[in-house]
Amino acid sequence: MKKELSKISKIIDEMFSYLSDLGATKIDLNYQDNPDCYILTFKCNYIKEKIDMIYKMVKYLNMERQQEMESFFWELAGEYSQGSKDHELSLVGMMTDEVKIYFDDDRIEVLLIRIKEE
Amino acid sequence: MKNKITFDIKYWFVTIFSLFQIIFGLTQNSLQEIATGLWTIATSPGALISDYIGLANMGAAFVNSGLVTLLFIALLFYMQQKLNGVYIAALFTIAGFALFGKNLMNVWFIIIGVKLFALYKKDPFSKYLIAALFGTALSPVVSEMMFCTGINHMLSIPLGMLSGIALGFILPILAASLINVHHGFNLYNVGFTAGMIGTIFVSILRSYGFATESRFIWTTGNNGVLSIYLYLLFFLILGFGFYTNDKSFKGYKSILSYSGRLITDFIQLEGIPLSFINIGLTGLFSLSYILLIGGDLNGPTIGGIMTIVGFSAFGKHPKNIWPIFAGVFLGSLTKIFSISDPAIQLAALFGTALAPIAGEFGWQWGIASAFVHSSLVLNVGYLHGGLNLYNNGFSAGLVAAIMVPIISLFGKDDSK
Repeated sequence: MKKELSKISKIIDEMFSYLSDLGATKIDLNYQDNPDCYILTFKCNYIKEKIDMIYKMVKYLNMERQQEMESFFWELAGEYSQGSKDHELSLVGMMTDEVKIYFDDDRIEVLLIRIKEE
Repeated sequence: MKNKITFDIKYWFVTIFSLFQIIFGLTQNSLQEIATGLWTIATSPGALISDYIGLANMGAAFVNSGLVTLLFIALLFYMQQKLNGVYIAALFTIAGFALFGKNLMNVWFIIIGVKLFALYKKDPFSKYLIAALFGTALSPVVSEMMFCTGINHMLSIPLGMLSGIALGFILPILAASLINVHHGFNLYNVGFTAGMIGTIFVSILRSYGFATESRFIWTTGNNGVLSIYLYLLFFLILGFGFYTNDKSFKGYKSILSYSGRLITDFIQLEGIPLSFINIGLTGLFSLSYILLIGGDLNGPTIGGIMTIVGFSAFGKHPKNIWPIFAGVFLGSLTKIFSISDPAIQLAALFGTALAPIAGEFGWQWGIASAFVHSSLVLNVGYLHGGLNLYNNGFSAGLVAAIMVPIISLFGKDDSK
């Protein structure tokens, strides 16, 4: 359980850094601990010129859940620093089961679902 | 319900590669020589540097490599594991190291240890397969304990088995934890972990009066036949990638845009054809490097090349490995060693574990880190007595841990 929360916090850390790099100045985070899953929702503004980063985010977060990758690499999530070339969004994708991304001209909403392990 | 994994193109790729290794081996020696050689390999210590071509013969070394890899492919398929980039990297690493340290006998005890860890944690074994596969870096511990302690074999053989199992048991938890030390800038994370474990293990052994024997079996004079085989292999892989990528290199630039830092899975990010193109190109590049510097193609250097090839599905590409070669080369111009010294050939090949530093911070830092690595790697082998096959991964982890914070000092200021 303790490790599970560490993983959630790593996911939040990674997402927060990436969204900040997208130009977000106000990020609303909603965290739900449900009996069978965790749901994280991020809502924020972004800079339109960085829309390519959103397309990349869609690609990375849509990776399927891979528990073996998670168990070996999860500590790396949240290591992303602003302006750096790489990030660990694909790892976030591998640590989550479902992703929904909505965006318009200046707002983006990302919903991540992580099913709890039995 | 997990979807059933089929024997897809990636499985065929690694299987055909393993068969190539076996067929090549069979063309080099008689069946009897190969059988005798396999026995010699299985019953000898495999600590660094034990070139199986010299220890046994070329045929046995390549058959050993192909068979060990095939068995791991069978294990992965039995476990219904999808072959993503990290497994391609692991399988090629195993194939490479099965030319100088891993064999049909010594790899399994580490795997059993990891399996026991999974049972203890009440987790599926598949969750720890990555640690299990790369963890075979510590296989020489098994051979060393079995055949080199001077203890009666009735006792030393079970002791070797137990040592392997114990090390396999602790490896997954340590590998996941120690990855934070180098922040993913050392691609051979298990090498770093195994180096730490090996250092403690050997220190304990030494404190009881057991001395680990240093070994140096290094063959020369086989560049002709081995370069023909390897060029053929890599051109075939490149050609296959080119053909399946609409007979073009279209899109390859995007692979070069990645830093390669863990985790960069080209198979999942850019697809199979581009990954194959990358694998072929880095194979040709690293093979040519060894030939150009007047190096030797043998078990250890082919192991290094195979590891680069495997990790070309998981982070490495020509743009982030050339600075490593250049850094080691520059080091050889100013330091007391020559570029073609065995340890320095290996430092260049396996030093590409630091490729993400070049990819993330620029080629200059790649050169600088390789420059440091080529000195450090010569000094860390003693710590684990050569029992960690991924000695360069150990050194690269230390280099990354020190260099990355320093390099970051000169990087962008997050607060602005």
